[in-house]
Amino acid sequence: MKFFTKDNHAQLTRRQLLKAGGMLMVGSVAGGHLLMAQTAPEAAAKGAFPIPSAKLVDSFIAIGADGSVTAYNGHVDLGTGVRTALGQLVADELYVDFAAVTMVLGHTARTPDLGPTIASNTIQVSSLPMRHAAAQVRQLLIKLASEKSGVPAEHITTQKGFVIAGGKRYGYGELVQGQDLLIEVDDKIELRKSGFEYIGKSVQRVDIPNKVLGALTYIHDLRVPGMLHGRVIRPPYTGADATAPLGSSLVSVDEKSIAHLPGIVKVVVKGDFVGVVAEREEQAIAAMRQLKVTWKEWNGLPDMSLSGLHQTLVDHAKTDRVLQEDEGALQAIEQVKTALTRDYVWPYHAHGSIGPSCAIAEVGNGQIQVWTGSQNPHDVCKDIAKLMDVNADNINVTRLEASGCYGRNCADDVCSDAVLMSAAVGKPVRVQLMREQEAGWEPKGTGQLIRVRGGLDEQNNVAAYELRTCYPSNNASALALILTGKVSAKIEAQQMGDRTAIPQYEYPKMRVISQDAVPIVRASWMRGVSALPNVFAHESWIDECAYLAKADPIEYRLRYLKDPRAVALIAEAKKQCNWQEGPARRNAAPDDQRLVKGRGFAYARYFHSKFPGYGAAWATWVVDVTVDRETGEVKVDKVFVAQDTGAMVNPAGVRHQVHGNVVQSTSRVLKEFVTFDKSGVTSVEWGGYPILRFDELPEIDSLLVERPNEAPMGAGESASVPSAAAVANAIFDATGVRLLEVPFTPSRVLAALKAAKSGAASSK
Amino acid sequence: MKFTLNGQEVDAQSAAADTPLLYVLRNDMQLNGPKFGCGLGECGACAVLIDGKVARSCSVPLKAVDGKKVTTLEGLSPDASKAASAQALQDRAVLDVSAAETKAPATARTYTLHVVQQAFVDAQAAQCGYCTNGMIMALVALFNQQPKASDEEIRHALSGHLCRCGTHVEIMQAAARARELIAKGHSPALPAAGASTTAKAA
Repeated sequence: MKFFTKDNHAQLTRRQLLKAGGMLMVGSVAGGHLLMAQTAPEAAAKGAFPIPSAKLVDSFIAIGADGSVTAYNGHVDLGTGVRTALGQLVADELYVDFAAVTMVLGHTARTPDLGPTIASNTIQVSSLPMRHAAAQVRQLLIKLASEKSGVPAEHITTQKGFVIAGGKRYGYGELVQGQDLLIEVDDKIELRKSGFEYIGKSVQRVDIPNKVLGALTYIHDLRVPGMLHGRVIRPPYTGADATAPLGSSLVSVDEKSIAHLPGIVKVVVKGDFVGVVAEREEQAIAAMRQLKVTWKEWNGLPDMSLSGLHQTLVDHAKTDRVLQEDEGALQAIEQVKTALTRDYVWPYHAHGSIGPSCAIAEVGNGQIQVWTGSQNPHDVCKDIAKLMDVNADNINVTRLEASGCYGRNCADDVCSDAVLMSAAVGKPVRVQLMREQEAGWEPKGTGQLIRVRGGLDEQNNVAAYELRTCYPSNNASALALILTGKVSAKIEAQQMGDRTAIPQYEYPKMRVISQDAVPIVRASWMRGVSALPNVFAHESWIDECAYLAKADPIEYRLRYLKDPRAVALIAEAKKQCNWQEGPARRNAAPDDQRLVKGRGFAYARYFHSKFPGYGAAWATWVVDVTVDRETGEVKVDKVFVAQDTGAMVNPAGVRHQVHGNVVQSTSRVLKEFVTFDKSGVTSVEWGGYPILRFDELPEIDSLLVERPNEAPMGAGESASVPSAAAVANAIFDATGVRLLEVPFTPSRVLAALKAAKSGAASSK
Repeated sequence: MKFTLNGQEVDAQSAAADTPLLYVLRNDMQLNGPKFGCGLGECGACAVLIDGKVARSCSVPLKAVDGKKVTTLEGLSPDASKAASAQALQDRAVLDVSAAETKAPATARTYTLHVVQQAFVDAQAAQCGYCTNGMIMALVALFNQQPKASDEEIRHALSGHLCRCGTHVEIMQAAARARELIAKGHSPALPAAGASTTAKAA
């Protein structure tokens, strides 16, 4: 790898940061937004913290008197490096030094609401209004210089923060004095296409120096003067959803039970919300542990065990939503020559943030300040408005970095917790969840059932394919809203099971159904959302078809795959791993060999967002595994991963995301499943929910296809999506046993091997 | 309870003797390096060095460090950490509308980082970075014992440190980079006692 030995310390000294008031921007930061509050129709309210309009250039770009640039984006950096990548986009669009750009992210009073930071969307989609605004600002600068110099605009260039007109150089800061940018964003303006100084380069991440030095970075590190410490006590139905009596389950709180403890400021009870506030953190924790709280009994969960989950998901009520139904598809399914009917089951997974969620709130003087690590600061603002019956523009939500979340963890929940406790004591309160609370209550990546029917014609080509996918999940309301009764615990289904539900293979007849279902336990999106399980089904099933056809698994797929980007990527992937053509199992090991090796392939382009949605990066996996036939242990030896991300704004950042996806999804596929009893989650620490460790790390060979002239595609999830099927296909190649349920734990593999052996014996 | 924190003697008067060291470091000493992850010694995010050995501060009571030398992430490159912290506070004036006004930014200068921290910057070995503290502290302890530690020994030393972002590849590259820098003569030793520190006495 390439090391950057020069300028490693640049970040410490890079910024010439501007104080808000001293900024002679194109309007000042504060001034511009105040003015906008009067002019923009959607910001008509009178609170202290109006949300900047996503329609105005002024909301995205500010230029200081010294020429420095501040850019605003409602999305946040979840540890993926988008703060750096967004800065690169702005620097190149405006022709300024990267070091002159400061990104402000996810701050409700400063950044427009571009929706939650989900679906790998930040670079592909949510950067666009900011880039358009930057292009408009550059156009304005050229116009101003043209007026000043008399040189026609077409003869004017921009370079490193200067406009060059007729041999004269005008600094951006000088030109913008007295100007304002209260103009609408023009989404038709052409973005810069070439000659980039930063786009396409692996610019070093701006956040890493502070992270290695322990400088203030995280919400967990923020200390507000006069701050007290809060902890919550949750109902005993850990991680349950609305089937539990959330909102009406508290019987009593015995405050005397902690009367002997030092430092207690207040016990806060509001409906089913129970919290303790103390002077010191460890005092709050002691009070949380010792406060005697009595709850109603509830043990209404169905069988959520690994062996029972399949039937539970089969029995769970579903509403069919047709995503695609070709004419005659049902008939074609009935008439296949060789039927291949399969149920695939995905377990409940935990996001597993290493740092339990944290927030600080300060409630007073008709205003609410919240500091958060949420991926949805603007949604937090709406939650708090509902919780406290105030207008959202009285609430300021500031986002600091947090422990990686990979989807919705408890970051939003703790904001409401902190607000309730701060309101009760009249002082700022910091809340951090304990490990068992984060693990127990984080909205889980849901279990999923995918039922496939269809099969082959007489030539062993696919004749028909039907997929029905059930994803019992929703958005998970902020817990305090439910506990305090502000939101009824009414259970709702959410249409999110349809991600990548339609395979990219052009089968002659297809029928694809999303079986929408309410959550069984508290669930929300997790990396790869429903696409990862859906692709597990698509790519396992076609692999079985290829085997039945005695065909090379890749060649067989290419019969149905027409997308040229996909075909080109797969060609690269074959070269990358030196793919040897031929059907699976052609090198089957002797029966008495204990350690057997296999190789599996899977491909997917991640399609996400509201159906039919759109595609992010394309990815392939070729994975080599070793299966121990005595213990059932599967070792992932090597992963060849290839990805087409379009133009890569920061190739090192893309590679890092690819590596992260490979490691995390390998962990999910081999090891991970949340455990439950009848009342809720029981895997509440790392002993009960092991994740991949350094000594289990597979070798990773990552290939990033260079496509600098294509649009950048989301890179945050795609490389996870082929994982499960690729590993299942490799296990099949090694052992002849096909696993239809994730994770591929040793006991499951061993059971499948034994079943196959006794099946083979009895059929002899 | 008195102990030496990043080279400076401190007295945690307002904490009870059985308080986990982690809370004393974070709340009384206002340090950010050690992080609360699990409170059970399972994840490693809270790692510090106690007399040069890596320890999980969430599971060490304050009384156990009486008279001992505790080193946190901030103690590895004290001047750089101090400058970065000051700068981070100033940045908040722009990044956060609710932040207090601060003084003008400090003048630009560069700092020499501890070799393991430098290696993490070189290898860009963080995603969210919440586990980074533990990874760095574990490697500092390892390289002080075994400056030529093999990849296998590195994996072993880190196997009790969890990372959820999947930064393992880059962290292994950072460890290899640190080993390379050490071989070129950069010392993995802790700064000498009496060097400046970011700690504030309670």
